[in-house]
Amino acid sequence: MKESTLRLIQYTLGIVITIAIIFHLQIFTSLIGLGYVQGLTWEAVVSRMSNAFYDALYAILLFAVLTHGLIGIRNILYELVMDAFKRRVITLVLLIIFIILFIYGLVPIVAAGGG
Amino acid sequence: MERKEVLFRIKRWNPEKGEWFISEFKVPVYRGMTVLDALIYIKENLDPSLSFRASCRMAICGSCGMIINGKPRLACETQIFHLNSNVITVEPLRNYLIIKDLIADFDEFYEKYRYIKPYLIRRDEDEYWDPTREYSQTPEEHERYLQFSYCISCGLCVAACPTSGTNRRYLGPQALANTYRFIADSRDEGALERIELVDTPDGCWGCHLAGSCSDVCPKGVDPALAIQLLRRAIAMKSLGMAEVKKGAKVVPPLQVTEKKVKATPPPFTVEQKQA
Repeated sequence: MKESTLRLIQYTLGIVITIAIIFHLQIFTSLIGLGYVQGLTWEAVVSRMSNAFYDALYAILLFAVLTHGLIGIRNILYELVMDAFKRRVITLVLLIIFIILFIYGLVPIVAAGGG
Repeated sequence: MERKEVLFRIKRWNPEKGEWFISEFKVPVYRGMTVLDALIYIKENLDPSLSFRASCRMAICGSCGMIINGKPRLACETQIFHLNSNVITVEPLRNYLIIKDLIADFDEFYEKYRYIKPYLIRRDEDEYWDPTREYSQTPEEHERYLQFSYCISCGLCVAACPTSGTNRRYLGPQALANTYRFIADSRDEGALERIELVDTPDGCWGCHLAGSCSDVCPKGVDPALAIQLLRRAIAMKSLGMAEVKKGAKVVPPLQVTEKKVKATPPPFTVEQKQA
């Protein structure tokens, strides 16, 4: 994948994260109308996570934050490592970390959605 | 004429011993004297072993770049009185290998410059190698890259760049600004070729936009802007939104006119002596 494609993905996901987080915070204050404390009670969270819309929102947020963050870490590590082979190893390791964390993050979303 | 004595503290590299050392010289200076003048004075009168590179003495050749009082500057255009200090420190350029004393090794710099193909790339090879006339260009097309063409390759931008200091593979502000200079040139047809070269982590995407390159450029070039414009051009190309540029055509032949212009020369302003 070209560097410009990766950067465009990162920029786009940055916008997605901003919109998703604004929406996520807005849920507590106006859409649900419970306020932060009430919106974070067990019942409120379970009720929200049973809704397919919120599940999709959190899955998108999880994907966007992980991808955006790991591309950023890759950029930092690329400046410290000059060797082409070591750079490929870094990309591979970060890809594996992405897969593990994405699956790990999906578990509660899917579990609560199924419940 | 205003005069004073200034202490020059020069950081020098001894290649035989492989170590840095500091030399101090007291130099009598006068208003209008440059740092290069002082270095020449030191070499001629105080220490003939002092080595530095200089040529045109008028900020055209870009040879005398060095760190003066902590900032990359051209020694030939840095007036001693403008520094407002009685102690002046002079060091070789940062982010370069040093050959001796104040002389930086520019091999890597020019290698990176050559890498981005700093010349017009054309498809009409017959015309390119055996030109009949010049390529046409409007003033507006010229202005798109004009400021970037002022680069004299003095290397001050690279000495000021934090990314060049930490990543030796980074192409550097000079090479990247010149990449944009040719991509923006309406006569050039090598944009895609050059984009392939700089669309890498060590190319235009390595820039952190510190802006120090633009701050130190003695010719008013803004390499930080060029790198951002280069990124935009690459992003537009990746999104398939880039305008397909066709290289400028050669200008049409001059029209031969039959009309003869009758011009009256202006009158002499000095009385002509009779022979």
